[in-house]
Amino acid sequence: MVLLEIRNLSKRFGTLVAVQNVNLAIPAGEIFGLLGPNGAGKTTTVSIVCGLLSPTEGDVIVDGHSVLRESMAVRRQVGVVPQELALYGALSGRENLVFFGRMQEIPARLLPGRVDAVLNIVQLTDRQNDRVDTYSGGMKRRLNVAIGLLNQPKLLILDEPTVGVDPQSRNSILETLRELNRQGMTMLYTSHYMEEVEFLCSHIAILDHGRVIADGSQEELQRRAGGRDIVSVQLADEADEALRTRLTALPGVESVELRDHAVRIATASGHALLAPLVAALADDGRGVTSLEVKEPNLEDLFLSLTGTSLRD
Amino acid sequence: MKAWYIAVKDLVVHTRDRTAFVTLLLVPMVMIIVLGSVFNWNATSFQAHAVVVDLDGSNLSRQLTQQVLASPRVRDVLALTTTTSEAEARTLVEQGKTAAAIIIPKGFGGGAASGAPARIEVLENPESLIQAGVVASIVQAYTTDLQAQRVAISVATSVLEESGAVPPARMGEAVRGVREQADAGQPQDLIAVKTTALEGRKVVPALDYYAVGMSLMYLIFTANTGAWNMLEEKRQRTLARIMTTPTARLTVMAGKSLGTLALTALQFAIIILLTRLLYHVQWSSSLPALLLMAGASVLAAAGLSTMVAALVQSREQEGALGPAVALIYSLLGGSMWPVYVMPAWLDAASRLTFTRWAIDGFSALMLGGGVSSVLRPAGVCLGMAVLFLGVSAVALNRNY
Repeated sequence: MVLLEIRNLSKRFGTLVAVQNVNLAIPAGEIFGLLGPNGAGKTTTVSIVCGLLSPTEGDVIVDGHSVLRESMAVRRQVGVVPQELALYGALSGRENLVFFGRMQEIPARLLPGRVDAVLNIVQLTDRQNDRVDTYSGGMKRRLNVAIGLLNQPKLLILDEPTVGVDPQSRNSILETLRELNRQGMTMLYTSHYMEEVEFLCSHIAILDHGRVIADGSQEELQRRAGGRDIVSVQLADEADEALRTRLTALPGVESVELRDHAVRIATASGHALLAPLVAALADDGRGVTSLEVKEPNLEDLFLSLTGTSLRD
Repeated sequence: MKAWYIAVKDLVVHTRDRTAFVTLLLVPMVMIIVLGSVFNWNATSFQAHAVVVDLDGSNLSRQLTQQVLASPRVRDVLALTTTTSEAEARTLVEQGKTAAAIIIPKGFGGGAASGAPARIEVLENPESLIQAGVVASIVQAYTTDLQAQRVAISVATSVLEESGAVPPARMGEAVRGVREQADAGQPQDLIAVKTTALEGRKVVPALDYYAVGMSLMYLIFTANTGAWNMLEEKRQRTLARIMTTPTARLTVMAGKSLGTLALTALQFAIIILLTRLLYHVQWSSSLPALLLMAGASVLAAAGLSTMVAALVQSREQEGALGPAVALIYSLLGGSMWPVYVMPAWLDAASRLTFTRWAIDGFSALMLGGGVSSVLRPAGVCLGMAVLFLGVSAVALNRNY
């Protein structure tokens, strides 16, 4: 069952085309990643899904409701975690949750329990009565996520929810989201952090200049990236042509590059090559200081599709 | 109900900023007492200080000191002390301890009776020229009248002698009679001090006037704080976050305006209470009339600031435009100076501001008016509030 469907979506600001003919379908229960560099159109797309912006063309359907015609019905189905820390610093964490819970029309008899539950999920129960402006950056990020969870949404929209947080808080947020997904929550997750999208998302769409340039499952996209693993070896001594000849003869090796003490081998399967490679180096009496297998990733795909890095 | 939650949240956020909240109350209270004291135009409070030295001790000099200078009518404007030493009186003037010294020389009474020039010396303190001038004028009025009497007696005596109506043997008795009648006159009537209302109007005391003026000015400043907060929420994206919930745009704007309204109403109520308790400002004897006028003023101030916030695009623009609008309304509307000293063109222009109408309304209440006396000014303020909020609704719908 498709929970979120984006149909022929375009958004123009004057002459600037922010989103151009985007089509996506997100099944219920998935974490769908929108990956792209800053300015690719991710935030504009999710702003239209949230009802904050009106599309120039196209429509968004959430659980059967059109964002154009049934905006309020759509808003009742979604929870939003914005990129910005949209919190009231002068209020406590609990007061923030109660306020936004009221805005989300959570019945008064249910609200205290919901607040307790999300505080527990983001591990802020012990600081719930402190003013938010006394929170650390990571705690604020967690509270930002908690507000999005209050109405137990069918679809949780997260727009770069980990920007500027420390690794520990980032891991905590990502693990929380994964657990919520395991419990059945569908998520639309935008980020320009490739690692986060790879960690969380089963399906991914890559946006660039407002257009979807690739989409599919993570495996499909990785295959499109070229399908070659790179094995990098750092030797104790300088590499020579005799070594190149020996390594090129190993099964599955497509190419070997040498530079000083470094050897870079392209192969269909890096892990399959490891055993014969180590044996060959030992047999040849070569000392090894490091060895690394790098699988193709979304960064490589983005690079191959656009010629630029995701972080550019 | 959601609008109410938004308003309460805004009020809580504002009141937790203790520095700002105290400033919003403390500054207007200080301004009221300073301006009310500096620009005290209450006419009955004027009083000149003078010292008198009667070196003559004659009936005539006593008439001046006891019947003229110490008469009830003169006492309101002249505080008189006496001394027997001319040197001491001069020292008091030189040291600036009194505005003037009146020195009645020895032989003043006798000289006047014999027709010689009657001279009284008035020493003036150059630092208190207005007060000294008042003292000199009172003395001059007396001496002029005295000389007029002497001339009249002299003329009457000559006429009696020339007409032969009185036998020469009884001439001395007739002249004494004329003098006694002249002396029996009412010299205190020479000076008539009467406080009149300016252009026939009653005037609100300065402190009370500035209690109204400063309250209105800071009402706009406080409302600006609410408007600024709206733009801050836009910047911080909390407003956008509310918009992602099933909450109508109109409800959000109503809540924000209600919050601004509640904040300004709270400030106004506290200032009214504090000025009543600390400065004894008589706001009104009619609570319904006071509530009507205060409510209309608060609505107009909140409406004005909401309109400014709705029309600008950023916090920075509001930070520049908001205080400018507040100052223009305060200057033009009469918060800084009394409306009745304004030239005609400014008086006409001031009626374009709600502050002017509010000042008129509160002044009417302070002078004893009731609900009927504020119907017109309160109505104009409410009309302006409706206009401001109408423009705000259109602009907010476009800009947010």
